[in-house]
Amino acid sequence: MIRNQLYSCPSCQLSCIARSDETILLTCRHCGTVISDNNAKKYSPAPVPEDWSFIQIGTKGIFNNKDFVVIGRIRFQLRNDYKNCWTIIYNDNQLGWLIESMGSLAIFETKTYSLSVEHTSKLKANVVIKIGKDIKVTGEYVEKCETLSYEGEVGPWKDLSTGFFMIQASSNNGTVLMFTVRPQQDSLYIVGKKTDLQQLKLENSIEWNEWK
Amino acid sequence: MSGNNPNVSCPSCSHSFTLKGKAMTLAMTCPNCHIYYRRGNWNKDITKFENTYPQALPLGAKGKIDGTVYEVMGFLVKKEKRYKYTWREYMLFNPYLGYAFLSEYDGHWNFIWPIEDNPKEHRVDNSFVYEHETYQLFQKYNAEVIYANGEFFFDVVDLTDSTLTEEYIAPPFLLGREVNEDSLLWFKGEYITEKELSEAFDIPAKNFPQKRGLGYTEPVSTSFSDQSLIIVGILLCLFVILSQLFLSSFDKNTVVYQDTFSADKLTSQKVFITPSFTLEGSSKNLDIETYAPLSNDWFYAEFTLINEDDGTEYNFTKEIEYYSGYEGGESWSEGSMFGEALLSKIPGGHYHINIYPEFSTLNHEFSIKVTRDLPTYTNMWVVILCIIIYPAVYLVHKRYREQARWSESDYSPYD
Repeated sequence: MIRNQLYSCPSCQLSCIARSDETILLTCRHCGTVISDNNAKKYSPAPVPEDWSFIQIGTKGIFNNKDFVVIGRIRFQLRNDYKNCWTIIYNDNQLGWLIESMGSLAIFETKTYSLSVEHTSKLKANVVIKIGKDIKVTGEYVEKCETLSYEGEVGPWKDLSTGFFMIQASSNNGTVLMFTVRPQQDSLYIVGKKTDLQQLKLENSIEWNEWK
Repeated sequence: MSGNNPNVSCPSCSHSFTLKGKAMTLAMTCPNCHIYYRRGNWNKDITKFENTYPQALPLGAKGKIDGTVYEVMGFLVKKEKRYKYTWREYMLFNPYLGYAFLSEYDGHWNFIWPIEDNPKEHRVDNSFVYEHETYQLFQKYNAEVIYANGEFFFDVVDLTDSTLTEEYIAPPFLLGREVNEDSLLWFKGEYITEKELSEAFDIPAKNFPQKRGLGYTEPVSTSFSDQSLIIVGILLCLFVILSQLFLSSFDKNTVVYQDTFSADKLTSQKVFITPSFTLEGSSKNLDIETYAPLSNDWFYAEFTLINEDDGTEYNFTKEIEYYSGYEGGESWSEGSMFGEALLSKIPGGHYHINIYPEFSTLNHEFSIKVTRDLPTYTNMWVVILCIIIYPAVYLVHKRYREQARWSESDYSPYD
């Protein structure tokens, strides 16, 4: 989509603005209808189910001394877990992912890398794999994606469909890799850093007062 | 819980109910017919449990642990597959920190939460250091869920069945490593007392299972470490020694009388009467050292110290024996040619000593040396002994308790 361009919701005609050129879809903040670029792939509506995430569209934070704001999310429902992949936009207009699950937080770049089928077959839980020259990570889990849903402005996720296996691998210095793997195919992965609530200094998050 | 919670319908009895965990709940039991089932599409099996088990913390109960409010979402009873013992786990939830567990076995509780680190990483040994604590392998086990109640954020039945768990302890902490084909998860735990739990959930401690034995992460003492106990003990001993040396520097250690006595000068009354000598100052100790040049012989004497000013008498006896020889290629000896009597709190004044000796046929002389205000170390050693007793008893007791703790482990360092 095109940054700062107005898109009209096909259902309610509400005007919505894309905040990044990397955005692949928008959902109407009024009726939830999916708005996509005329020339791009069409996506079906997939409203996000209610969960207990404390992050919401509009939540602000800081990572690596750069302010960011949450503008959308993809929610991957895995067999024994879920991943809320929040699209964040930094104050220099770059996009990133804030991936959250059960209190675990990590910030990823949107740049997507590819791993050959040969190497992909080695990706397993509790197995150490070397990626490139510098990165050595241990597989933490392999989970099949059952369903996905999205809301707001969604960043450049390369494989926005279900049925893939999500594999997370990390090193003790906090580097974390998130792979999406399909049988007999090269896998895609993004690179990030584990973080926590204190470091992110989140504002405008949901206040679950009954938990205080 | 607040919010527009989703409703689900039991696949067995069609009972409708609202999920507290909203979309995060992936497995649950029906509140009506109590079957266990999953929400996803990958496994439509229904699990029925043979027995029900009482739970100390009801579903929905909220408690504050380490400053964080958690709600009880689910309850599990697990059975170890090899040794068949059972324990109970309560799944807790907080939206900011995710899930945690309270685990209870024999009335002992641990609060357990997942961690992001890989504490052992590539090491294969049974002991490692993490966050300044040395953890030792306590148990490895496979388990199965024999009862579940409530909601769960993952398929606890299948995951438990396929997971090998290793638990490492450094009481009151534990580290657990759960590995199966699809996941590697580390968790950390800490022993929590009944009292803390009772206050956290506002539930009377009498409702909790009765405590038996020593919990595998129960600390022997939570108020101080072994190291601090030993350091404090050493510092106290040093203080006592330095104090003694300081006070001893004021002791005059004065020889007030000494002489040698020969049997041939013994009077018809069989007594030696020493000349008068003066003890200066207030009440202080008096040391009477006796020496007899013995060789496979003995010497015995009765002494009476007499205060010439008021007639007070102090009586004591001294027997000295010394034997030596050469036997089986080795020389030996026993006894001593010296004897000592220490009289405490002898007031100043003029004194003499009456000595009633008994000589053997071989020895015919002895000598005495009377010393006033002699530095003594007896009190110091008594105090040091008192200081040492507590840590010594504590450490022996601790070792005994540690052996008892590890008696349930296949990896005991005491075997």
